[in-house]
Amino acid sequence: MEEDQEKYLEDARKVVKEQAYFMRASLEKAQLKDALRYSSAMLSELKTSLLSPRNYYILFMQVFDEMRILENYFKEEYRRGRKMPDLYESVQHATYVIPRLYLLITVGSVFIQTHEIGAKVILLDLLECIKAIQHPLRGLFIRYYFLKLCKDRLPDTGSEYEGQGGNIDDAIEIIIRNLSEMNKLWIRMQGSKDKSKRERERLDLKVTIGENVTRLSNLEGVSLDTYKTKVLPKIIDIITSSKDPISQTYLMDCTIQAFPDEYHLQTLQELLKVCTTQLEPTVDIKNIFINLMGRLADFALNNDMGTFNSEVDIYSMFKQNIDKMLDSNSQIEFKNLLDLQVAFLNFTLRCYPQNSEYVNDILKSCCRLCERQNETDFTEECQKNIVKFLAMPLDTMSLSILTMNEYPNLMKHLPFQKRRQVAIKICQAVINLNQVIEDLKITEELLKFISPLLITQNDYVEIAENEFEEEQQLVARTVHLVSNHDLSIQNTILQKFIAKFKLGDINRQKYTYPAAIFALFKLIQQIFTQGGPQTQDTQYKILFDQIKELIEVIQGNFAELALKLYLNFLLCINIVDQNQEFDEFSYDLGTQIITIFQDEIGDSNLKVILLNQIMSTFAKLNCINPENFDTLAGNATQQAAKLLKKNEQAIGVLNAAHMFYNDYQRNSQRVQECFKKALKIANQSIGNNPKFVYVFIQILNKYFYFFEKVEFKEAEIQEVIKIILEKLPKALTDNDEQSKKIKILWAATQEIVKERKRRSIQAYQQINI
Amino acid sequence: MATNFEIVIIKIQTFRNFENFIVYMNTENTINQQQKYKLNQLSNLWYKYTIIEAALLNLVQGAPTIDIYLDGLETRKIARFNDKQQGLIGLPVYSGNDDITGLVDLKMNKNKKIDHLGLRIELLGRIEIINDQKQSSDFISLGKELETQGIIMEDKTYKFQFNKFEKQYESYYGKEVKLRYYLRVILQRNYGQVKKEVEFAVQIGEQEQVDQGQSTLKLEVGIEDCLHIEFEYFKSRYHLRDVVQGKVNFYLVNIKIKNMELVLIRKEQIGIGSSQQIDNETLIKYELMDGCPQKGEVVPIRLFLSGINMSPSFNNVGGKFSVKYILNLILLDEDDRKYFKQQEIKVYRKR
Repeated sequence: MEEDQEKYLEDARKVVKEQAYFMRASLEKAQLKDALRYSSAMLSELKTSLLSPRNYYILFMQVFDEMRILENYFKEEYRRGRKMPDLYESVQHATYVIPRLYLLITVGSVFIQTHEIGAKVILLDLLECIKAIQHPLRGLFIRYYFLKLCKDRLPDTGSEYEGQGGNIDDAIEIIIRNLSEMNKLWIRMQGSKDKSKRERERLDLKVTIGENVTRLSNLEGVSLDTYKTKVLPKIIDIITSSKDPISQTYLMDCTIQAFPDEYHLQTLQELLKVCTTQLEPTVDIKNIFINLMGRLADFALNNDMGTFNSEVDIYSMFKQNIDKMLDSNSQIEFKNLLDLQVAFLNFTLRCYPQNSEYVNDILKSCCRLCERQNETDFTEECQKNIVKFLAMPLDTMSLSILTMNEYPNLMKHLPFQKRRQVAIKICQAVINLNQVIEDLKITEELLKFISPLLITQNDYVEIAENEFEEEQQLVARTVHLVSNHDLSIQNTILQKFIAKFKLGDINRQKYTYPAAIFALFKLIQQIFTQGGPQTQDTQYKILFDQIKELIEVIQGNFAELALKLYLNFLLCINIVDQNQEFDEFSYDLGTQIITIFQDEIGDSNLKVILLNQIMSTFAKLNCINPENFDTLAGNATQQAAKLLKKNEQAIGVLNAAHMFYNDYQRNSQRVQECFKKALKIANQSIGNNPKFVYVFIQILNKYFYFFEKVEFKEAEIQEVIKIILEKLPKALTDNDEQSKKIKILWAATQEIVKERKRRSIQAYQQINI
Repeated sequence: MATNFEIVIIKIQTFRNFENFIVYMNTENTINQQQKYKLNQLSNLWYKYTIIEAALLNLVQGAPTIDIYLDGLETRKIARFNDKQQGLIGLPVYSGNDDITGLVDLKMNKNKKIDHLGLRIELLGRIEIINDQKQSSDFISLGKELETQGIIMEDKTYKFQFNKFEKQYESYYGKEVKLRYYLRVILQRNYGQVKKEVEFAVQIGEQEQVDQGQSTLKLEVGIEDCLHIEFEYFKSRYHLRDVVQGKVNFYLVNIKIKNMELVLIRKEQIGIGSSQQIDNETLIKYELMDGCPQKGEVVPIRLFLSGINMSPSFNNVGGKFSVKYILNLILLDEDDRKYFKQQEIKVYRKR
């Protein structure tokens, strides 16, 4: 089939090329008669019924180009004295109607240019003659040819053909008539066989029909008033008199695209009325509205909004018409109505970003629409639209719209997955806007909407781990937006979240609790900055207990996480409790930390890391009294000695020294003990493993750190240096990773010593490495 | 006898139909007695084949020649006819009260003297039924004596004049019938005659007959449940350079129409009654519409008659023949079935 098409086209093009060649040759020899004969033969190719619309178009364009040559020759002939009326008649002697009319239009175009006869007379005559082509495809093309050729010959306002040749009314009349006829032909193409193929073919041809509308819009004489009174009513007549959805859709769209926005503003009521009450039910009104609203919104944004708002009440017009459509109980599909609502909401949000009342009204209509439907009507697509509907206002309007009554009403039409989507969208919107959550009522609504993320609802659907994690993180991020200058309220809001989080299971709490806990940390610091608790419910004790409670829940399943939270908790307490009022509480936490570390953490590598964190956290604490602290630090040090590998043990113990000597602790003895222990472990191992020299170098460096704080025995240090220097060469024999590490560390150490010596720091003078 | 026998082969026209390729053989230098020969051996000739006049006998003494010169030919309108024998010819037109005047030129052609029985000019109007000479007859015959019996010694020129001769019928050159006017000059001699003929045309213009009524030709036709149309020609009478205009209304279209055409037919009716012969000739086929219209469509009809070589309609000319023009509107469907309706139109010559 396709191949045949190619062949048919190829053959036809060949004939056209051949005959065009002869035609031009005859024109060069000024043999008009022959030229007409050849052009006629060329044009006869357009009689074909074999070609698809696309291929016919290709052939048409080829002929079209050749006909321009002939047209120019006619002009020359006129200058040479040929009588146009004679030529106009003589081409009508052609036997076949297709070549005859193409020639007639071509001569007619030249005839008009002579001004010997009014443009209108010729154009109307041509239009009359063209009726002879009743074949849809060929008819459309010859009328398209007519449009192309008469393009600049219309008696438009200000054109050279105005006056004797007619006026703008005639120009409009001519094109409207052509449009009407073309539309009929176009509709006739539909036929009954092979519906979808026909529709495709028809859509391939739509530009030929649209050309009429373009012509109309290009007429100088079509002012707003003319458009309103003479053009639009006629176009609407054409649109509504056909019962063809494709045609109605296209012509509406075309009209909206072709004419200026001001015109649409002034005729909006009319346009909308047609759309909502006079089109076929299968016409995609939604798209027409979307286009129209899109254009008007652009127009509004590019122009003075004032005129947009005052002159015509666009919102109300759309609203009325859309509502009318909703209530008309028509056959328009629910899905399309919903689409329309979405588009309208979008439009309203763009044009009236501040007007939440409008938004609520649209929501109301939408609810009304949804109420009417059966459950089965809510297809996947409809649900998507409702999701959009709920999420869209959030992007531009404040969270307050969440308090609109209609929101939950719409939400209930959605199955779980969609509710989840809405919830996600809401969270995203809140996060993207970086909106502060400061209102209790909004918080309540918000929590309602995002509860698909917070609790396991009846129709809950499992999702992949990573997706779950993502959504829970969204929730976590939302919590961080809670804020209020009144910390008591801020606390209340947080408590609302926490209360809800408690209902979610541990899998969610893994994400939500830490977020809530950190939000509480922040709150506690804010309270502290404000000068301490102002109200009953923001007493530290209450908050601390709550946090502890929350962490304990985590602890059951996620020990490591709980451990880290405890550490952060301690740091938080440390900020507000320099007076050690919560000494026992804090000590308890510390003990808890050690217990978790000891009992719950198995992975040795993780242990190294965590212990490091524990010790560095402890080193910063001042909220525990010295005695208790000493116990805690001691426990931590013991844990270091229990690490799996010797080097880890040595370095762990070494690091423990920091706990005893820092901003708050000055316990030199314990520091020295740490060194001793570390050295002891190191000495035990260096015999078997020269690489252990790395630990020694670290010990040496640690000496340097404490040099000016703690007194060490000189011999002890020299002993370390001795071992290093002795073992180093052996340790460096291999060229493996470890050796490299040692090399680097050693070089850095040497550099430090060198530099400190240069600065004549006393302690270093004895270090020779 | 042999010495006086002359054979002149005059122009042989090419005809498409070689079977009937005809040579007219004349015993004298005029076209008088015609004999038909089928010359099958010439049937492969396509081009115009002309044999120039040749005298086979009478070499020593040439026959006298006669020429007829009509006055004022340079200003007279020329009518063109497609004659079956002569091809396309152009003849001077006389109409209304026109006189026909001119000169007759007699040349001696080396003759010292000519003994004759009289020189006479005749104006003849003749209806010729081409395939049946018996039916042919003159409807007008006017004669004038230019010279009474006697002897002519030198070349001589005679004036002649037929004043306001009766122009009852128009000249017509059809397929089966001709109506021709001609002047004939005959020099009668004892041993035969010298003859010369000149054709001319008569055309009868008619007044624009307003009162005679331009009725529209309107007809509804159809086939039940299939097709119902109404066609209309705005006029029933047309002059020769007129335009046939009209329209076709489609009321019901349940067949798949491929196209619609208008055919103009010339109908020659020869004789009357049972022996009447009818010849239909299609003058032009003209496509009116491409494709299948829908109910409610109106398709215009516009046919320029000026491009068609036609005569006025004739009704019972001299009791011998009539010429009628018929418009045949044909609808062709996609199964190549034809639906047609014929309508006669009157054609007249505008004065």
